[in-house]
Amino acid sequence: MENLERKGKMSPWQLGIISTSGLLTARLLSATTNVVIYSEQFLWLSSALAGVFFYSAAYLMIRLAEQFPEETIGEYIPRLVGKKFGTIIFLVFITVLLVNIINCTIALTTLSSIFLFDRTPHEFLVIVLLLAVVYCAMQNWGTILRVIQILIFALPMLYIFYSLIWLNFEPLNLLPLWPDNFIGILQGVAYHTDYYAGYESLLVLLPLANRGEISFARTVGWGFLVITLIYVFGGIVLIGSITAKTVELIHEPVIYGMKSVELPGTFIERLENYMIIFFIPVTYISMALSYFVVAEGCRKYLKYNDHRIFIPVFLPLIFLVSSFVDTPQRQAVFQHFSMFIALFFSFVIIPILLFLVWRKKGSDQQCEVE
Amino acid sequence: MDKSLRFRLNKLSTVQPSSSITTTLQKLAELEKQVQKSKEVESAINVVVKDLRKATAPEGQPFIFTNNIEMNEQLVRGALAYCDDVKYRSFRVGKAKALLVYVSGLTDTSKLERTVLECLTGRLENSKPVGDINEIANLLLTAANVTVVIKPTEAITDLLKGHSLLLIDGISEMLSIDAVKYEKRQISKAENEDVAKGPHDSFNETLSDNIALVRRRTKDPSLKVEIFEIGSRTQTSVALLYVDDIVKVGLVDEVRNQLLAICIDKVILSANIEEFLIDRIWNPFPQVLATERPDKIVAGLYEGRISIFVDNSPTAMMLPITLQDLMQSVDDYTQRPAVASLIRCMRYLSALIAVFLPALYVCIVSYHPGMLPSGLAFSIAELRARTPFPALLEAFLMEGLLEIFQEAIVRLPQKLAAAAGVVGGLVIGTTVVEAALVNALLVVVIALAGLSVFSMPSYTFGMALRFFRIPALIAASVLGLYGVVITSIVMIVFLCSLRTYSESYLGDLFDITLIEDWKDGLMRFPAKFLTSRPKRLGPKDRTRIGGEE
Amino acid sequence: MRSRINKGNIATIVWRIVAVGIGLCICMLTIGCWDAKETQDRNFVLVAAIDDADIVKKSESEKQIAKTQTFVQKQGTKEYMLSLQILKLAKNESKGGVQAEKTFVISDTGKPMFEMVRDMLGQSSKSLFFEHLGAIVISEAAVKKNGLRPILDFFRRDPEMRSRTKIFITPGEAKVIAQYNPPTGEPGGRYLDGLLRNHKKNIHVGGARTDMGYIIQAMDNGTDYALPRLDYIDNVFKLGGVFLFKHDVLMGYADEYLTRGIKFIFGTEKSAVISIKCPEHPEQEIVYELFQHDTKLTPHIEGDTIYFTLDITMQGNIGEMNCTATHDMHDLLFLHSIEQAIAQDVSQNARDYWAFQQKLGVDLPNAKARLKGYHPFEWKKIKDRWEEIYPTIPLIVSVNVNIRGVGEHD
Repeated sequence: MENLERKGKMSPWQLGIISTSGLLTARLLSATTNVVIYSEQFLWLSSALAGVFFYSAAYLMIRLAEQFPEETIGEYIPRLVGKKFGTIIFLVFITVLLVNIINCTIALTTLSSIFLFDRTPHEFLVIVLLLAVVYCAMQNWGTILRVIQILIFALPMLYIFYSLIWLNFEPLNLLPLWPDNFIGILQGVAYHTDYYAGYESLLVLLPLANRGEISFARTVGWGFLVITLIYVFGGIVLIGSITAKTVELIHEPVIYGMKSVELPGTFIERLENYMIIFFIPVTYISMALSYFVVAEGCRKYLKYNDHRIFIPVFLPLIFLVSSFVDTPQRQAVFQHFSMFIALFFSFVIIPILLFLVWRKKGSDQQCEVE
Repeated sequence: MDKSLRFRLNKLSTVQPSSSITTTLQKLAELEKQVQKSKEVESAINVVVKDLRKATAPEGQPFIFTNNIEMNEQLVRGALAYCDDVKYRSFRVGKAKALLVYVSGLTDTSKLERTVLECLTGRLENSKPVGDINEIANLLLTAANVTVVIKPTEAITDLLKGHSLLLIDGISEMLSIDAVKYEKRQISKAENEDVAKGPHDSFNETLSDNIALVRRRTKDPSLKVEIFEIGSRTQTSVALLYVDDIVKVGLVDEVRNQLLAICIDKVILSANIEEFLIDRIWNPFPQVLATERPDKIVAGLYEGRISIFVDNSPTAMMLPITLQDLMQSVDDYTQRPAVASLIRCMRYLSALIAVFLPALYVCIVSYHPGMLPSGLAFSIAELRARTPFPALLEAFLMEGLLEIFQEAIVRLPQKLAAAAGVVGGLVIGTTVVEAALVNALLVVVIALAGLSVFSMPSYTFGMALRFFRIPALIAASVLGLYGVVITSIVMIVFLCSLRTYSESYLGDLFDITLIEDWKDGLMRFPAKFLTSRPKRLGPKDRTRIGGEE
Repeated sequence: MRSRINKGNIATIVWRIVAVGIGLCICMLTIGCWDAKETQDRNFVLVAAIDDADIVKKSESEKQIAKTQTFVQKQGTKEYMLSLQILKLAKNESKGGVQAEKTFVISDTGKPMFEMVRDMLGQSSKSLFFEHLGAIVISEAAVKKNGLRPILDFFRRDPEMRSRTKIFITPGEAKVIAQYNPPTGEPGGRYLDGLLRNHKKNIHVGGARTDMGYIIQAMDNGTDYALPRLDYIDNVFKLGGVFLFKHDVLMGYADEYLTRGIKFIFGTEKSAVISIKCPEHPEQEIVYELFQHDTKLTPHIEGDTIYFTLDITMQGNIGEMNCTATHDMHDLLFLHSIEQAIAQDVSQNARDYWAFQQKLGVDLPNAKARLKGYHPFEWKKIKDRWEEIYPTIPLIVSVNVNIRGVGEHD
């Protein structure tokens, strides 16, 4: 009879939950501002298209990882492209994940700093959050998996509060339904990179999952579907209640939408604070997961026994960058950088690697035939 | 008349030098020195004798018994010197001398008279020789439990347990006769785990009684009982119970090895053993379930757990356990499933209230008063306008008062308990508020948090919740709601990292691979649905209801 | 030391270093508490009243503003007077039957609102706390000075503010409204907040889309909006009518009758009372109590003609009949005539308002957005000429009134 420790591997459905938790981050609350500049009231359409777009990237990553079961990207990359290019690609991969962690940190601490505090230094909030994330990332995979499975229950609670914005919904704000701004909508898709960041972790997490009756692509697909639906309905209700123009001008549109909800006769006031309460764990698990993946990836790449050595290595870098990027201008620059590096990794590097794998497979088969 | 004997006032010692006090004292001191020296010599001689005896004895034994009864008696008296409760009864068995050694207070002397003395004296003619020890044990004695003992350590241990030793001249072995009888507490109600509807018997301090309470509830031959002696000096009996065909493979061996590896001189409480069975020694959460209830033990055994009973302790231990086990009560299974499910959910909510309610009060009052409805915020502000302390200090003051009160209640004599209740209620509830030291709302908050702790089925788990209230309060006072949320997340990570015998401490809580165990987790489904044992404990036989077709 | 560090235990050593670091950082947690402020150490601001400083100056005795209500500033002018109503925390017993005051008011003059707020800390022993701000009252004169945006910008940016704070425009002085002590004993801010919540039953009061959140949204989208009028005369408040704004400029005042028209178009009331003349006795009134109201404002384009249709469906009861003669309330014809009279009244009211707003150039129902939403392609052709076309667009109203009951008594 198995137990958790002896199993050591997660089921495909647990991988689906991991994907869901890894994808939803604090950027949901602020990324809409940039998207709406391009897609206007078709935010929901951009989100839907972005879901498909980024799922395709995740699908490519799953196909790549399935060519090398039991190995992480750090282990097969040098064999595929050579040691030098392998190191560069691995560093890009690590950078994408670190940038995701930094984005989450900046978003969550900025949000908390504005709405929960007044004079508390931003760096203090960053260090407290990072220490808590480090504590989780230092645990073994079984523990992190349990933490994610528990804290993901904050997601339905979050969505219950989010759905209260429907009370102020005005269909007129969504009209016209026929888009005339296709270029803008597609540009908005690209700006959804922060929304869907986190699926890159699959390249390290897949060897930790059992191959069951159901495929990884399907379970991860379900995760993407849940997140996409959250974004699509969230986009509809946000634009419908506070209009696209207001979303464009507000730094934290979802929080602003929550502020506009009033529930007279109930004990509940300041719904945005409740939203932030449930948002912190949702972002936390995403950060802890990414941090663990960074450490685990480095461990496998450098062939160490324990991933914990690499956690303190990146902590000062994350803290310094998160503290440095504290003005809107720096945040805009950093966001562009993170978007481009993530898109470059997902839609340039991964397809090239897949192509190389298929080509290698084809030439191997040819050799066998010969 | 001689001039020297005429009336004179003078010391006796001037006339009789031998009666001088100084000299007497000096001689007394010398005598005491000599006595002390002779005692030292005696103890040195004893040590030498012991060593000499040990030298000839097998390894681990203090001496070796001989065929000579006087010698054996001397050896036993030597080992149990200055033990006046050890009694020696000499008599004759046929031609041979015999000696019965027992500890008064631990032995049933009337039983000894019936089963040993009556059987041996007068059964054999004075001139007849005695056969071997087995003949005596099998043919002559009528006692129910008779063991042949060769090793002196076994003999002494058996004697001190309440057995009687029968020594016979000409035989180096001796018989250990079970005639144990001592004063013990009757089976009574559980003091700390009473239930509304369910059995009321509980364990007492006698190991055999406790095992008997378990045996009465199950006639399963697969229920195994292994007894060890732990404690190099106290030699306390510790029993290990498990159901052989259910318990997880390897679990019994691991626990047994841990028990045997305990190197300690005394075992007085079951908690002494408990600390050696857990790996995270600073963890405040209990990793072993201590219970006074036999029904809980039997239910646990049939889920694949192991029970450990310690002699002289009314608390039995059960392991491995998970958070759900600590949050379950016997009442959950005696109430209707819908009611029991609601009560269980309330219990989990109480656990959260116990840890976080004071922290939430502090963070809302100090950091986020905007989260309160306007009317409530104004009235709280008016209430607090009179009190001098900041919210954190108020909370600590009330917590301190509550802790002192709780400790005092536990140790108070029963006659004063009622008065103490009144005083505590007045002091904490009324006077402190009227003196404007704290506000009334905080009293309600702290009282609710305190009551929530006591609603936990497990006392030690409630104590752990009390422990974590403090860091939550500090986090709330430093970082408000943000701090409380981060603290709760860190606590969840800590709980997830705990393991009991390789299984997660949180059990099946929100683990989708163990979804079939959720039927008896947060909710309690009707018995019809609880057809399998919890998967989280890895039992060999998972079928609970229905036989094999 | 080095010999003790090997690949096997390096993780443990690193973990211990991190743990020590965590411990040191935990020490940091016990310092600071930058934002910890007890509830009783905050001054709850309940009402913010903004006046034109010039007019207030004239009304103050000897035309002098007390030195405590101003400060020296290099930039900005003394255009506004900001008065804040603050909650008094001490429990007051009423003296001689007179309700004790629950609040007090502090004021300052300047132009940036934020600067005035911070200067007022010089008048307050505790920090000012705006999270329970119930109402913002702005005098008409202050609005006419520079528009509404400069006044509301501070409230727009501060994250402490609530979106659902009520905004009122008063023709008189806003400060006296802040100084008012309601007879109910509750603080003034809560009284004003409650006053506007009755808009769902009072058809003369426009309160559905007049919270700060909606106003800010309208400002962001460049749409027109209305704010309720609050009069304060002889120690009595009265809400009635709305002020209409176009691009933050005050364009005019819609009285109670026109406000009814607005509400008929929007359909925002949950219950309202419509009084009409009795069809058989025109000198008497019949009151219709509306409890369900659905409206639909739809744009239509036929060729070059743009028009809007307003479909109104009403359900209600007969609330009151002032006729001296008795009528048979089972007479369906009579009831039908009442329904028609009501429909006519409602239709006329809506049209009157439509004409009024066209005259002012205000587009409160956001006809522009509706036209864009329903006919996006046509909208593209006319959007540059909207200001010319709008005043010519007719409104065709069709009203369907149902009388569901006549009350408890026939």
